[in-house]
Amino acid sequence: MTPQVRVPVIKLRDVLLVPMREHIDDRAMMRLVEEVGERISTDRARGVIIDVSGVDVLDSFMTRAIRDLALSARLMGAITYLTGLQAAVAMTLVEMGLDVPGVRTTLNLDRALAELERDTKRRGIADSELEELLVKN
Amino acid sequence: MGSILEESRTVLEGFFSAPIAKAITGAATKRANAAGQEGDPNWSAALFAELTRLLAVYLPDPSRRGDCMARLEVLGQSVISTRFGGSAALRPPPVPRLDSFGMGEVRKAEPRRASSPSGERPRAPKVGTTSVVVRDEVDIPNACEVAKDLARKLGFSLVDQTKMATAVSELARNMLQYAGGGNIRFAEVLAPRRGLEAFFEDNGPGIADLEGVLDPKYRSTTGMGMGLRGSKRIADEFLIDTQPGDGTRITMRKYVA
Repeated sequence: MTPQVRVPVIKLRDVLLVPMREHIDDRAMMRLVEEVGERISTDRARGVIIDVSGVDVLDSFMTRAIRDLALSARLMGAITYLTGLQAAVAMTLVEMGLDVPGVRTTLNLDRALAELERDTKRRGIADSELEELLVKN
Repeated sequence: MGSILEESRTVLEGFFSAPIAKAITGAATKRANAAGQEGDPNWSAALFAELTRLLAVYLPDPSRRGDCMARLEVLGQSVISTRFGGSAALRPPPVPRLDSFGMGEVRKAEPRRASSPSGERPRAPKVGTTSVVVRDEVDIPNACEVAKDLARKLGFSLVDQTKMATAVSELARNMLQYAGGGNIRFAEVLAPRRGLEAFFEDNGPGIADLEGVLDPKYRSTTGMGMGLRGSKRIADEFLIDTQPGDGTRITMRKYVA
């Protein structure tokens, strides 16, 4: 029997790093989605980076879980990046017609951090615009 | 003496597990029923023609296939001669159509020739048959691992290994979610090409609206449609045999490219 896998959620400055290492089971995935949600608020994270370079199977359940994670993170003001998708996994997703809408993807962790830095600066402006809108309406 | 169907099934059970023997005779019956009334010479001929055709697909080992066919032939002759006074000869099989099997659709792969015309080619180590029981969520990653490992041993590319493992993940999850679990049997396929077959069997409620589920517009809250359609797109051959109340049996094959 496969041992229960627990995915660590690492705080790195104002980013949560989630290194997924293997094909985790459904319960572990649901726990992870919950945990990241809680950690975004307790750690005041601006971004979540899910590193899937060690994952060799991503199916519809996993992509949906990642999408849910990203959508709820966005509602809490954090941007989610999916990084390190293996070529074989990407090709399988395409052929199966699966996608992870609402999630930004980058080739590797380094680029995710760089983009996040840029995006959070830009979003600072977007947030103030949003506040203006909210005040107006 | 039992009915032709029972007799054929008994013969097949000598070569396959009981559920597969049942699935094969079931598929042959469907085709026979399209050809005539049960017991009619046309019906019997169509039944045996279809059994022969299915054996060619499902029993790749030539010596075992020959053995099985010989037994069916004896059975066919004796049934036909005792019931119809020996006048009805076995008719030539109707044009084989793979998509007539079960309710599901079959996407037939482009036929490829073996690397040498004689069919003799270097063999990778045999992987034989492996069964995986799916009872709990933790069994799903396990099943994926097995699928990927077998695919690798058979010489699949990394992309195809991943595709196979992903489809197994989808179908195993469906079994668990909708039927509370089931079995997966992996087997090496030698004909028409070398490949890997995964046979999923559950005793769940079956799929009442298969066409609807396979329709791209279908969205289940739990995602069965995505998984089933996605797996079908990945597979080279994909057969779904399901009846409401009678479980679901899915055979998927992927050939070494």
